Amino acid sequence: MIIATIKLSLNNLRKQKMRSFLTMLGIIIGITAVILITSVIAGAESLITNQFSSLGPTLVGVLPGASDDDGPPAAVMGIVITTLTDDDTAAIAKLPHIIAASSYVSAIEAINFESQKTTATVYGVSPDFPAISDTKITNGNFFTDDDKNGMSNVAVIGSQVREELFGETDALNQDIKIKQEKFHIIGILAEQGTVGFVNMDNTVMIPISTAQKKLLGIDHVGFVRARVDDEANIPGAVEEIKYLLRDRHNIRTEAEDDFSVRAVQDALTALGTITRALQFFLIAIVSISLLVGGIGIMNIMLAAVTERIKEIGLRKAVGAQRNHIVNQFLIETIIISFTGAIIGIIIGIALAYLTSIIVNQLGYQWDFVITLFSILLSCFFAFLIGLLFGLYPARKAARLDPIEALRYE
Amino acid sequence: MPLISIKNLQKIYKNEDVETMALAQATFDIEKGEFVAIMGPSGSGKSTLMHIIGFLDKPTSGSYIFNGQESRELTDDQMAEARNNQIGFVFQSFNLLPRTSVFENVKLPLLYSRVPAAEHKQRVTNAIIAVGLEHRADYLSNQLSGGEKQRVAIARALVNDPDLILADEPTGNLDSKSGGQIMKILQDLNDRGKTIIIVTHEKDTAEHARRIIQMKDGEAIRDFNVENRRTMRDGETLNK
Repeated sequence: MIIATIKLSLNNLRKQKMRSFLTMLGIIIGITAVILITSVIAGAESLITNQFSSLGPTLVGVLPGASDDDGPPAAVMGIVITTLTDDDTAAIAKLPHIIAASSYVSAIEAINFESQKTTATVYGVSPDFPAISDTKITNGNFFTDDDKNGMSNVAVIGSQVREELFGETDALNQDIKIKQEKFHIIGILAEQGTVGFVNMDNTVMIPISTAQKKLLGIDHVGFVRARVDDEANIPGAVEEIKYLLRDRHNIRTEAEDDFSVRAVQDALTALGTITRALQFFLIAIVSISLLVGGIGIMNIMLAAVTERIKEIGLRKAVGAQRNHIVNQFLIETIIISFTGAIIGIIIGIALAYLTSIIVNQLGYQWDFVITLFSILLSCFFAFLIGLLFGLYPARKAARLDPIEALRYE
Repeated sequence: MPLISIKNLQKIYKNEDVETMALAQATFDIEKGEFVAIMGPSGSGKSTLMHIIGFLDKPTSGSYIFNGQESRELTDDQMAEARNNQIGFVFQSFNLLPRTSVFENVKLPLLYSRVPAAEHKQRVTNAIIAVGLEHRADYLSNQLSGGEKQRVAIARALVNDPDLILADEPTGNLDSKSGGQIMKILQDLNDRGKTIIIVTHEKDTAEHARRIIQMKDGEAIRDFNVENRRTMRDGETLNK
């Protein structure tokens, strides 16, 4: 009986392909969204996690301006705070659990070599930078404390900058021009890809002092990064940095802080919370679209009941009982929503896969993740919608009086 | 025991406080193997009577006993079951499932019966052979002529081997040649022992039966055996 009913429903759906498709459309879109959203969020999470993790778990950042532990730093609001300096960095580097510390300033500048020209992010950093960022030098050396103290015009360039300015020729010991200043190339960075959302291959590293005085005309630094000797010492180190900076900046209470200290680990934890919240929020929105899709199905099924009154009358006349008719319509709606769900799952997976390919093409590591949970959730939703929105039309059909139904024109 | 026993049957329809007496008085028995025509003009109550006999409706008062079951004691599902395996319906407008094959149309009552699925094919084939449509079994219902459609409907009525075939104006939508074929099939079925009741307003059609119950204004006013019964031979047309 059930098999015959399923066959019958499939036949009915096949006879009106266009209408069946339109009926399913709401479900298809909703389920596609469920699959795509869960996949994109998982992919984005992997991307961000990878970016932060590539900085290393023992990295601690010091940003100018106060912020509570979860809020955005002052720089986001466009406020420039000038109290954080390279002397602070030097003091931080001397703290017990700190291996190395580096100041950072940055600017996007045009880089010239003879007639060749390119644009890159110019970083003014401390000589400790390679220890902080785990950067390797393939050719030449990184600059030293002497270069920093002497404000030397020396530069270490990323592989992409080298490629664009010099092609196949040797870049070492050549002079490039940034903002009318000549810089002598003393090293080439190993290829690294993006780290912390910065394309490390398209950068030029120069001594912090040179960048501050000769390029930017400032005394403060953009931010400071410090490497802690062990993950277990991170909370202690963070407190020590805060204590040190308050002392150096003559700050008495926490409320007056003109800096904030963040550990990469905290960022990862915060990220997890944010993505989970985002996921639930988006799925809540998708549920609404599925609800609308379900109402669409109910609408069509009600129309189908009216259209098939004569057929229902005949079925009842030849012996169909109420539950036979209920089953017939219910199975039909469940098949509609289930077929819609399967199409939605396929489209969702295809779109998620496409997204991962595109993002990977852009040079970011983006995992293609389809969770079993999202597929089971979709199937469950589809079944529930079919049942919920099929029941009313099915009961309406089953209650028809066979005599009136047969007479209906 | 007669197959059908009807006593003082009444049916009153209530529509927004207006009562209509569709059936005022009917008392008769029908034995197994009879061929009865219920005849009368429209509004005479013959359709109401047919609905009650066919377990599509229940009487307001009086008694209708079919095969020993009192219809008023049956639930909706029991009525459906009775319609399924004890009565075969043939309608004036055929009522086949559109865009569905002859085979599937004939099979329809079996879907709601207790007949095991393994027997379905044989039963459907036998019923289709009984109405001479074996060459059309795979045709879709909309590819058939009117007469063929009605033969499919008769095959469908036969498929569950019911005790009674109930035909409502079976030739009403047909030309006289097709109508003749249908009456011949019904007479042949009756000759082989099937009990048949047809409802018609045409005297000529009614005279193919062995007995006529005449209805007027909701009452069964005459009940008589047909003396010069019309019997159909192959190819004979119906006199309309």
